[in-house]
Amino acid sequence: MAHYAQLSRPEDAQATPHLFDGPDNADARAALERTWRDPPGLIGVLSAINHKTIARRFIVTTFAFFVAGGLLALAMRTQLARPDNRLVSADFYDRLFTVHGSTMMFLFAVPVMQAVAGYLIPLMVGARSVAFPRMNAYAYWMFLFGGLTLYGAFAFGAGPSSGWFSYVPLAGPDYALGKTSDIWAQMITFTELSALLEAIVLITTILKMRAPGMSLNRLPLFAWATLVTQFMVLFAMPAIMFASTALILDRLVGTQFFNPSLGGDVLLWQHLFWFFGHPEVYLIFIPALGFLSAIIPTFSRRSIFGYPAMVLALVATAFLAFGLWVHHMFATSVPALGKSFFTVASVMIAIPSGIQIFCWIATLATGKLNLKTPLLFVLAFFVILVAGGLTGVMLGSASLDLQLHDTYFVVAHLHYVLLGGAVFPLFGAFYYWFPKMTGRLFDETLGRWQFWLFFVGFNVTFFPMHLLGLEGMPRRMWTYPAGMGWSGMNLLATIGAWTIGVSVLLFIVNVWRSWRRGAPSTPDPWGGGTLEWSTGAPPPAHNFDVLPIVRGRDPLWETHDTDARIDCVSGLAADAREVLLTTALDARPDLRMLFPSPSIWPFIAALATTLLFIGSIYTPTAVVWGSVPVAIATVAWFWPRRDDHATALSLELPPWDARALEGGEVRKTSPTRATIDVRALPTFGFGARSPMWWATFGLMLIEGTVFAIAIAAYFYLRSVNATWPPNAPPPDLRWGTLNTAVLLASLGPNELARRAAHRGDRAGSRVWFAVCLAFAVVFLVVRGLEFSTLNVSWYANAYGSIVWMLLGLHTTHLVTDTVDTAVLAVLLFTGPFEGRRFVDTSENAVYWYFVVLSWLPIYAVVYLAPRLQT
Amino acid sequence: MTTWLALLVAPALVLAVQTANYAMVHLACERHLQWPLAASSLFGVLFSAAVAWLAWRRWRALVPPDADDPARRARAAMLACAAAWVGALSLLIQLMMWFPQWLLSPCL
Repeated sequence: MAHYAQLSRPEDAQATPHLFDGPDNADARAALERTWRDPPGLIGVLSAINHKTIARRFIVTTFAFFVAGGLLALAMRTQLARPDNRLVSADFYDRLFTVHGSTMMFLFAVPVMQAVAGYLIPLMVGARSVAFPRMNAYAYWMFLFGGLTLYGAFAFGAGPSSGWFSYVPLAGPDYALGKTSDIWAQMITFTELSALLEAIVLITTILKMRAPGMSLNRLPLFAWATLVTQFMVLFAMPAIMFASTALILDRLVGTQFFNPSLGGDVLLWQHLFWFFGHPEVYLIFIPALGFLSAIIPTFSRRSIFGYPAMVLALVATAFLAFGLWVHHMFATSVPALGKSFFTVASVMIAIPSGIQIFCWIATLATGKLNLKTPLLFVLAFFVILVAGGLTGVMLGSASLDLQLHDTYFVVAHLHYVLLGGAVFPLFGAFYYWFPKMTGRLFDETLGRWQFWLFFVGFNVTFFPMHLLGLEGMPRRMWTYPAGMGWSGMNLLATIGAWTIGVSVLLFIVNVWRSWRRGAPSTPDPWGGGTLEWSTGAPPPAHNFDVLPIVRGRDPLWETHDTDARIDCVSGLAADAREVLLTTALDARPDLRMLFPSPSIWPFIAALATTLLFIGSIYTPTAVVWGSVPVAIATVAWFWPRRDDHATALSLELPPWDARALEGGEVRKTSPTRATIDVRALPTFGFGARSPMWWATFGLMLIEGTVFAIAIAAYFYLRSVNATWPPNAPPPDLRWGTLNTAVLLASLGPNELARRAAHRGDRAGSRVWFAVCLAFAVVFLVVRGLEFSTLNVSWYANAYGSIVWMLLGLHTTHLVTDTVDTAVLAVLLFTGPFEGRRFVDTSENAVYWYFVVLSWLPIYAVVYLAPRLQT
Repeated sequence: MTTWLALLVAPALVLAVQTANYAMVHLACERHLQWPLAASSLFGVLFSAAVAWLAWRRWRALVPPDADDPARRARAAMLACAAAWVGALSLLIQLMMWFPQWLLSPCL
């Protein structure tokens, strides 16, 4: 009991009586609204963390970038409307298509899907928030600042001009002068960091915050699509982050990753870029499939046909998407047999796509159609995506691809796939969920006009491009001479592009008018079956007055006798941001956890990170001095406040009581409804029970992928060089071996710290963490000495570059984890403390394992592999 | 476990075999050795076939219930069903990627 007195101070707990939620409790409803609302005023705007607020900003920002990218496209189409046109210069045209492509891919298509998911997922799965709401806000600010960086540079004449894929050597130091490519590369860092954080937020929300009863077989298909997509983000994005970092290092500090004269290779860029770039198409496409699977059942008035087939198709598509990247490189020197593997995968991915299309058609064919605007966009999707998919199968053939490579046929194909596969469903989704988000109905007539203008404009723009490509018109050309036979179709495409522009303008007018003066909507205007339709329109700050219990795939279409069945949860604090966590597979009530309150620190941390990123475009020293404000801001962000601490203590159960009650559900019956009372659930748990564990797991997947890609790049460079290592022996084996011994020795105290945390032993935990920290400091000192005597230079050749990259990457991780461990140790010694801190301690120990174990393959590659080869 | 092997490991192995074979084409040409390519493909085929069959057996053992059945059983059956078909698709793709090796020289 000594621990209990020390840890949770029961006298504090008794001093703060709480109001708990439950059915028909008006006081609790008002308290929930106050608790979950964002604070007022300018500081409140910057501190907001409510998922709906952040998602609305995200959606509006991505849509603004969509409009900006669209205006650039209009400028390009106007330039190409007639031959020998001089509306814009050749150089400016290069910038137009580069910023257009970069905007649409990095600032619109991927983030808008995450933004919509950030709004809908908690509502769909029956949660009051997303997981890690402050990180969600930070991700938004990073995205905004990244986009503004690109457009700021473009406005001041420093926009990139090497294409959205920034191929080297065109984007390298010899051809892209000034800071244009650096700005592009750093925009990638901003947006990919944001996307990775959002992925962790969404994965944890879906796996840990579903309403009780929503087992994986009852998960809405949009949530399945989001889950699958976010796992793809974790594996795809590290490749482009690694590539853009290598590019910026080549340009800023003279590494030689892509310089063939010093052992580098330009195809390395293409491999890295397309290992991200092709899955990116599916990052855009798969959420759109989720929209369809939400819209079609509602407007067919029946459940989706073939739910398991839809799930298997989503999973199979996600995996296969990573097996197609080389089909973007069929025009390079890849061996024919190698190409054939990717041709197969490119063709076979049509199978899971086809399965989904047949399931949707079966749903539509056996339902009673309600032909409203959202369904019109869905039906258009079928026509356009099938056309785009067929040209995709054509381009999957290496021989045909060689003929059509870099022609307008490819431009037509990619727009049929991306606009047809993503933007049409996205417009459908906007119309579908608009009444839920705003509480207003949109104007159906304007909606239909917009649809038809968009559909006709789209086909008039992009269908002629197939023919232009077959006639040999290359893409990215600034102008063309008269007499090529291309003029008529180019003019037609330009007319189509302006029609699309009018359509998008009409959409903006419709949204504006409907938001201001539209007819009020009921909570469920379409008769939808998923949980978001069960709450208000717009939803209250806390989403649900009481969390629902789920008993089927379409909870609102289930008929049940409310007197006989438990239909909601009760017992969560209404005056504190307490949420219910459930088990990952079966969604059984597991924990009730206190979420953080609004804070301005995510905004300040994003500003500090922006300073670091933009500074490092100009000087490598910014990585050092720029890290200081980032570290200060993030430590301040995570440092517990005394009032939060008091609230947490008052809601916490002592650890041993919590363990005794694991999985326990106390049922009670109120006068009108039966509920599951979750007051007795523990407030924290270790391992997969904790959201922190899932975040750490996601982080390890990301970093593991980064390390795997770096090691793959090492072997790739080795395979293209006749001698390896060139001109110098590998790094001294003694330093690497000494550091390996130090890291392995640190595993002992690390494990002891973890075990101490699990048994609630604060003193033991902090002591062993301090010992672990000492090992980390020793490692860093040894590493510093090694760097000062390293016999390979990052600028001498590609071997030196990749060795420094591998060692530098690992050192960066170790520095970060050392700072993290130090802060945690200080908190354990002095700072405000509650039981949840043990979870942080445990997860930090798990991450330490990862940092140590990820060193071993790097050690083998850098120190052992060259010697074994000798 | 059998469900997860077919649902996640089998398609991941498809990608691993594809990447490994792609990386080995160069060596196969240089050293006139085709068997490493064939061996990795054969392993992929056998593994996919085995896990697809195991997932299929598990699905049949659970007898596909309705989504309203007790949550855990219904969830297990649905995932086993999806896993069996993902495993089968993986097998098909492994086979399809093996066929070109019978026809094309790695030195082309």
